[in-house]
Amino acid sequence: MKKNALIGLLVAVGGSVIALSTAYGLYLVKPDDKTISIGINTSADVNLAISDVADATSTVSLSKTNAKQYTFTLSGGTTTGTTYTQDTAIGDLEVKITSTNSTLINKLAGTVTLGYTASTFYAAETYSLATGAVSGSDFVITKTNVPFKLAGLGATLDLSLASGTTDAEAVTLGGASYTVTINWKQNSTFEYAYVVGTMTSWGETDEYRMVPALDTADFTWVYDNDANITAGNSFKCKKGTQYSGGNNYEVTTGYKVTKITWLGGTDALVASSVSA
Amino acid sequence: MKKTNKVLAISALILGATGLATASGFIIGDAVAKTKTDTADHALVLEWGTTQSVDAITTLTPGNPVYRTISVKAPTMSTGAGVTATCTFTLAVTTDHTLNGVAVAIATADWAVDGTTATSTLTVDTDPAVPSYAPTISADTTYYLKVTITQAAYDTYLGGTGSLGGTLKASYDKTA
Repeated sequence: MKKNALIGLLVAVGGSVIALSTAYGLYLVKPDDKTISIGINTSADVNLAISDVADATSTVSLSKTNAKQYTFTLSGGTTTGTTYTQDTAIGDLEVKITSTNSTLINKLAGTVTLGYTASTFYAAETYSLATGAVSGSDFVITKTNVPFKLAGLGATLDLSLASGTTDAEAVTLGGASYTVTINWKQNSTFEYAYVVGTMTSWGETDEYRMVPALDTADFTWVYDNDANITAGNSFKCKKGTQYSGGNNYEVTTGYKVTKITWLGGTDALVASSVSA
Repeated sequence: MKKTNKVLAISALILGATGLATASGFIIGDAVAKTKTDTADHALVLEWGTTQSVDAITTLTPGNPVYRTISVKAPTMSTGAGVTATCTFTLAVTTDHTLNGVAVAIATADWAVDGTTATSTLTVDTDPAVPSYAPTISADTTYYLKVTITQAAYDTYLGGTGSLGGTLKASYDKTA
């Protein structure tokens, strides 16, 4: 009985509350919501890629008398919608050889040679990386600031046992398994040059970033884009605090600039233009 | 910067008033690492021992054997190499010569020790092709060679019929 009485009381109180709230009315005028969309794009403009590692010496195994040679290709592909227009990019390469056999790691000698076959500049002197070295329990060869054509850059890894390897060491490391791991990553330290001008409000913008020209005899910066520097614009090249020498390049009426090259320093830029 | 980032650019203008910074820069996606696993060659190291007596034999008479000694060190090899080491003794006759009646007895104990017996005896009498003896080597071993000639062969040689000549070759190598 007591329990039922309590329930009855609660119902009564609740009913009064409801009656009270419905006694208020509201005439409301409010503006529409304002929404700030935060859509940070994390998809890549350029995706770096490595081909499968090929064994150019598949008939022999690594030993005191047999060197090994592996080849692979480093490349990059632009993604849909990107404003990345140049055919060259910069990457960091790491070649790591791992093994549970410490003698093998400590007796390795290795280099990576990059073959810029499409480049006058780099074809003249194969771009060989510094000799690798033991790093912790691995043998590592690294090279940062590697300029490469997105279409692909051939690389050759030469591995051998150091000339001082003794017969006893050769016995100790014989039969040991080792793994070559290629890492090809974004570079964050390379200092680029930029085309700056009226179209960039004289600031450095990604869209006008220059890249090393790999098909010239001397190191040259290049910006190659036939569409977006139109008449009325003026510009210079800039790297760090250094601007190209001479006057601002003025794009004359009826023309558009298709390509800009710059040797750097106080040299004047060279621009190619065509009828717009 | 990608075209699809225009939303962000507009946002940046709005957020700029509040002091929020925005980063710029092309986004470069790292490559998926590629790997290649390989195996170093097994190694087998074979060496002669320190005792080597291999001077040419220029005098050999019945009852006066000539002794020679060849020692081998135990092979060292990589774990799992799957090979064995063999020291092969081969007696061969020089062209237009003969070794008939000549015997090379091979023992693993010094012939000066009483009771030493040959583990193999090479002659060209029974198998003129390639008489050989090829023990497997797994420990340091010294081979004692005793070279003899029969009276009959010696007499034939002295009689001028046939010229005595040949080689005993020891070869330390791997077998599959």
